[in-house]
Amino acid sequence: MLTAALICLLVPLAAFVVQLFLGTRLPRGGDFVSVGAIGASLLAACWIFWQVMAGGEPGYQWSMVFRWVEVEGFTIPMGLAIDTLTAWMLLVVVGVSFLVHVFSIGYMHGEDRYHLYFGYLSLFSFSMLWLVLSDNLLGIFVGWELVGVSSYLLIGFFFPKRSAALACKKAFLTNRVGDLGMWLGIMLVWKELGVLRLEQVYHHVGAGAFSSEATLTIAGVLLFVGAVGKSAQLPLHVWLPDAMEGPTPVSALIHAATMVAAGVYLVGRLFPILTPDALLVIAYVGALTAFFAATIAIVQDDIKRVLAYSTVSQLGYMMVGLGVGSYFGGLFHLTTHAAFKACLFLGSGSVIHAVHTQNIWEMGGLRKKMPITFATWVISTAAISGFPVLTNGFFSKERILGDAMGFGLHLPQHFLIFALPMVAAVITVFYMTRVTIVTFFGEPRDREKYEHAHEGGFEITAPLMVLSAITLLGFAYAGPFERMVTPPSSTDYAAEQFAAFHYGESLRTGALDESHGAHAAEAGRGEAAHEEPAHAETGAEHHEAPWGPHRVDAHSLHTGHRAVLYLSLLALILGVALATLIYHRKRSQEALARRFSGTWRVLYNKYFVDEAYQAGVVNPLLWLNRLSAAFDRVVIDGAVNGSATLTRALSSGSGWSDLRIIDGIVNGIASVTQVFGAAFRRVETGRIQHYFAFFLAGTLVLMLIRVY
Amino acid sequence: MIGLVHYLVFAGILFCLGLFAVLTRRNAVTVLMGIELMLNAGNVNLVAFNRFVGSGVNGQIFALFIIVLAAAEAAVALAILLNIYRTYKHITVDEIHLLRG
Repeated sequence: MLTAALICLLVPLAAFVVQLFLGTRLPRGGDFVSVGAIGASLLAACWIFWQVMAGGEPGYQWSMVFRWVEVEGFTIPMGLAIDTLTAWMLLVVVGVSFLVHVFSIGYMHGEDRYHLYFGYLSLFSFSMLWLVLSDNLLGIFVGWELVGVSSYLLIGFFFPKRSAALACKKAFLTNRVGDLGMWLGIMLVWKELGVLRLEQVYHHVGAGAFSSEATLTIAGVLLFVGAVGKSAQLPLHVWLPDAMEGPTPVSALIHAATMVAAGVYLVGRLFPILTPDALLVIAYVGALTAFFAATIAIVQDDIKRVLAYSTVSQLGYMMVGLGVGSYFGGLFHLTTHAAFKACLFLGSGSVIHAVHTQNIWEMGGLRKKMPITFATWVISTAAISGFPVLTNGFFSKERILGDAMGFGLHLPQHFLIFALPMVAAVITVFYMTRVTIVTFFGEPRDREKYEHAHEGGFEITAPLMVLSAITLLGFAYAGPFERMVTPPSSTDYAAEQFAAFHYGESLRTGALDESHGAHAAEAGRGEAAHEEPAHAETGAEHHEAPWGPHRVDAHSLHTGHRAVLYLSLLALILGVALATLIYHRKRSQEALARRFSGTWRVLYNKYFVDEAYQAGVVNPLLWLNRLSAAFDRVVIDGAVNGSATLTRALSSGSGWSDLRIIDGIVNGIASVTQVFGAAFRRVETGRIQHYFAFFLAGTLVLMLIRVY
Repeated sequence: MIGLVHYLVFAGILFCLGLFAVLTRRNAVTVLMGIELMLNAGNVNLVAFNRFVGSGVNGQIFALFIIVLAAAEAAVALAILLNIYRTYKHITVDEIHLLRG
């Protein structure tokens, strides 16, 4: 297992290093290095998956810990671990990554810096695998940041284009806001527990080691802020649509299937320690995101932007799922979404590659020209719409909506958490049908582009077919996923708590025992329930009363799921019918836009969120910058220049004294010496007889002195 | 009767002659000869004082030492003069003032 995990993790890193230093010298830009590396990773991931599934038990299968930082009395352990969730995530990440690598060979052919593109893809794969394999919060954070960097590099891959450069900067900075929250959350956990390994964190939290439930809620929400940034949830969603400036395969890999799912993965990882309050926050954020992003997607003209907002919306669904306690729903939607959204993005890439535009109004009628792309696109669209039984989207989406409905029926004051995603489901079907019709049906609007269009090569169509096959095989792996991926539990207490708390589970087991039902009813009376002292006081109390007011009885759940099934079918029919009516019958978007011009403008401008950020955050910051620049110029520069002037004055004074006084003394001594020397040199005649005479005179003088 | 004073006066005259020769002659060999005169004036004094004032033979021995020294000095001085002659082709001391200040 160790070897497989290390191969899986490190081979892409090696490929990145090779591409960085040797990429230009290798034939074909060395793309086979990266593709081969991710292929090796895929084999390793499959092997790991096989081993884990053969193990048959949820929970940790393997782990390795080494000391990363070791200062006296202070150790930060790092570790890799594989459990069932990791095994699934590995398969999703590496699988999509491999297909995107293959697709990129065709899509990026002939681009500048081709080798670097593949190097960055390898770097991203390594980062994402690190994030997934880490068994502690710090390791996840490291992977998290690495993923952010590679995302930055890939979004800005076409950096000579100004919009791409701006987009990657925006993505990076927006993510930074979320990362700050996550970092604060990690520090809070560290302060409270002194450990960061997830297993120990679960154990300590389960044993009631947190000082209060409020603190635990704050920690959970702070960590969720990181997920908000990475998974583009509502206040921080602005970077994802702009990230579409990156190459389309990158959008498929990073901004649809894997990186943005990291936030959901993190919430899934933290699921055991999230309090009901924290989960409620997550559910609300998810529900609002799902709805608002879906409404924006209706009016976008750029095929990739539609998909981008769709991704934001679907990520919202996942958050709703986890927020209402549907562990399976949230994480399974992550898996299915990775497949069908990657397929959609790669399909859009195939279309863009063929017609060289992203504007759907310049396309049309492409189904005849690109049958494979069209077929796979339709399959994925059916999946995202939750087409019953045949597609994988059905299993995950219905589960989320069903659990949300159960939640909403049980706690009517939070019915919005169900209502918004349900409406968003109709909208989802609507905008996907709209894009499909405008792009693939009808008459070609731009005849020249239409004539030019053609299906891409095998490396472009093969990933599409593989992904749509995976999408269609949803029924085959929904069961194993649900059986294998359960919330991690390291203690019996925690296991019991999960069983009680996580009512996706309770649906599966069919019933909850009386006491739990009674407790749920009691606790469910209001959100204030868990603020009562009995719930919040000590760990010992926790053992008696596990926090879990979100539980509902099995009856309302069953009702919920059946009702949701009908509602979803209705949504599907409604969405397709509306979109077909509006867009197939050549009633142009302009007419509709004119009729609802106010709404249309708000939606088209994405609720003016970017403008609000510009006015509320960016401009004040710029003003602050200008202010501090002025402060710099006037005060700091003034001080510096003033001291410089002072120094100059002092220097010229001391220079003068040097020149006149010190030099004067030195020169004076020298000239005195010179005068004397000139006088005495006449004595030194060099004639021996003169010296003799002087000697005689001196002797005589001495004698005279002696005598008198 | 010849007494101490006669010897001293004689030695003084001899010394003054030597001194005159040293100060006035231009030929270096003559200068050396003046020096010999002065040295021997000193010798006369030493022997005379020993004879009239002291006892034993200390003065005489001293005189003998000075004679030997004078011989050695003359040898060295003549060697120097020979070298000067080789350089200048003359030994006129007036003309030899290379160390003038």
